[in-house]
Amino acid sequence: MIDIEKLKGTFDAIFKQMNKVVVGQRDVIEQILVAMLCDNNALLESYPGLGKTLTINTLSQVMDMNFSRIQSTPDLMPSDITGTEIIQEVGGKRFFKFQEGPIFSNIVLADEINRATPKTQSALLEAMQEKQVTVGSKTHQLDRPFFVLATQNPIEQEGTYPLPEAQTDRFLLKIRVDYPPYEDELEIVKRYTKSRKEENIKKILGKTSFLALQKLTKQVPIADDLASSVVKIVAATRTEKKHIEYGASPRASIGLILAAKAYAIMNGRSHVSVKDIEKMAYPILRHRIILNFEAERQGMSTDDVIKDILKAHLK
Amino acid sequence: MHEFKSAIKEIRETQNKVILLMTILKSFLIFLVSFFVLGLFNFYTWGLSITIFMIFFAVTLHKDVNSKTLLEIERKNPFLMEKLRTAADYENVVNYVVSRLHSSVLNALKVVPISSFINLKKMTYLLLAIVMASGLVLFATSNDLLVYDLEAGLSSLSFSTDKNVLEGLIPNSLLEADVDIEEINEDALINEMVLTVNNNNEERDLYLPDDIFDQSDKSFEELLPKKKRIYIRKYFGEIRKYGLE
Repeated sequence: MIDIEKLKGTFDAIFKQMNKVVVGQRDVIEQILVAMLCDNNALLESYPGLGKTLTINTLSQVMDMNFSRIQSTPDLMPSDITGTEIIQEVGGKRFFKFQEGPIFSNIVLADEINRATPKTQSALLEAMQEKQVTVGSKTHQLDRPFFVLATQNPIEQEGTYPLPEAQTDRFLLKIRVDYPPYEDELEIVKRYTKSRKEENIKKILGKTSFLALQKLTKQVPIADDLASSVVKIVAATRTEKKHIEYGASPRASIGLILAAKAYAIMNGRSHVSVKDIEKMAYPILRHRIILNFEAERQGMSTDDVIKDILKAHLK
Repeated sequence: MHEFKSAIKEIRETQNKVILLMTILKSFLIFLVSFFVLGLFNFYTWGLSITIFMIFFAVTLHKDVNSKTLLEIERKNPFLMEKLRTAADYENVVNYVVSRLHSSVLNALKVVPISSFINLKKMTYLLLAIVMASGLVLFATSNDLLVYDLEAGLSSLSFSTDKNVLEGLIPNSLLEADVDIEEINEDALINEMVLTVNNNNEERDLYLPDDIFDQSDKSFEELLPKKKRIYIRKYFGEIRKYGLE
């Protein structure tokens, strides 16, 4: 059986392996792992050149999972993602064979999802939700574990199709990647400007173990008063009209509790703590809150508003 | 799981006992304070103090028992923080993670001292307050401290009407009868008694026959016709009134 207290060591080993390739970004890696443990998906907002692809590729190696990358463009078709029926000839006989698309992987990086057309976005989101794709009359189950990390560029909005709020709500977390601090950037420069041999990445978790961890995550208990605080926090985003135009749905409450459970497991705890909720509230709520004009006028970000709400409702 | 349930049951029972003890102490303090204040005004001191004590005890006990949490124990034992509450909320849930939590909490509870259940600081302050209040009560009663005699004040207020004075002493039918004092004076039967009514108590005692004070209300009602009874009642009512003044 899995020893929960020792799980912290397992995840520390994952971070250690990741650090062989990726400099810093501990929070980003943690949040990606939380989304994966919750059997859900994440939206990553970052500027170009911050190592998104490198991070997710390395993570797939550490966890011994398949990885594929979809570069979204306006001419990307749904079949380019899901796959298509092709005619194959074997022994003089012709038959249709399903050619799997890049979605048939354990970890999928949908780069710059807002550059794809709404039709293609919908195909991807449907696959994320249902964990299956239907091509022609056949439904194909996706491999498990299945995780989509979609990225959005916060700049250069011309010619893009920004995801509507209802679509972004389907992502459990919105992970924000900031520029690295000076020390980290210096390390990145040193590491990648010299000739170096490829790092030997050790596999830490297999698919089966990860699926077991996903089951374990849902079993983590949360005290009634903490669950009540979570509901109050999410409800406050709907009632706090001073800075918020639209608040989060009950899906956010579910997401916050689940993410807090996953974060607890990652830290080797068999119960949810206030710290877990505090830590997860930002990535869970930031894409589910739309600020009003007053907040924008005051130069407030969604994280500032979330901070105020947490201060008022999380004891 | 059974072991954990027993542990939680024991914790809750101990908490209830502590709450009962604290409520008794708090209520006793309230009793002493109300006894002291009411005593200063001589206003139904015993009756009201006991009533206040009982109401406060019932309300506080109900409120404290229903709002008790494990937070106090967690605060005194930080290694149990959030764990104990979570484990208690999931005492009836069976799964791998919860079982691990239960066994971890059970192990941690072994080193929890019983003093975690009692707020010693609060109890000390409460006991000190009780000692001080007792001292005040003793001082007030031994020195007959009285700010204002509310009970006497209230009775003098109620004596201003004849009807109030006689209420409870004689049947209402007699009180409601419309008879003037002049009529009583003119009554031959009473005049025969040749009684002189004075404000002076000594004179009243001299002239009134002794057996009048021995007679019960019932005996008057039995011997005399209704009208006479009314006269006599009114008459003695007046005597009592002047006598008290």
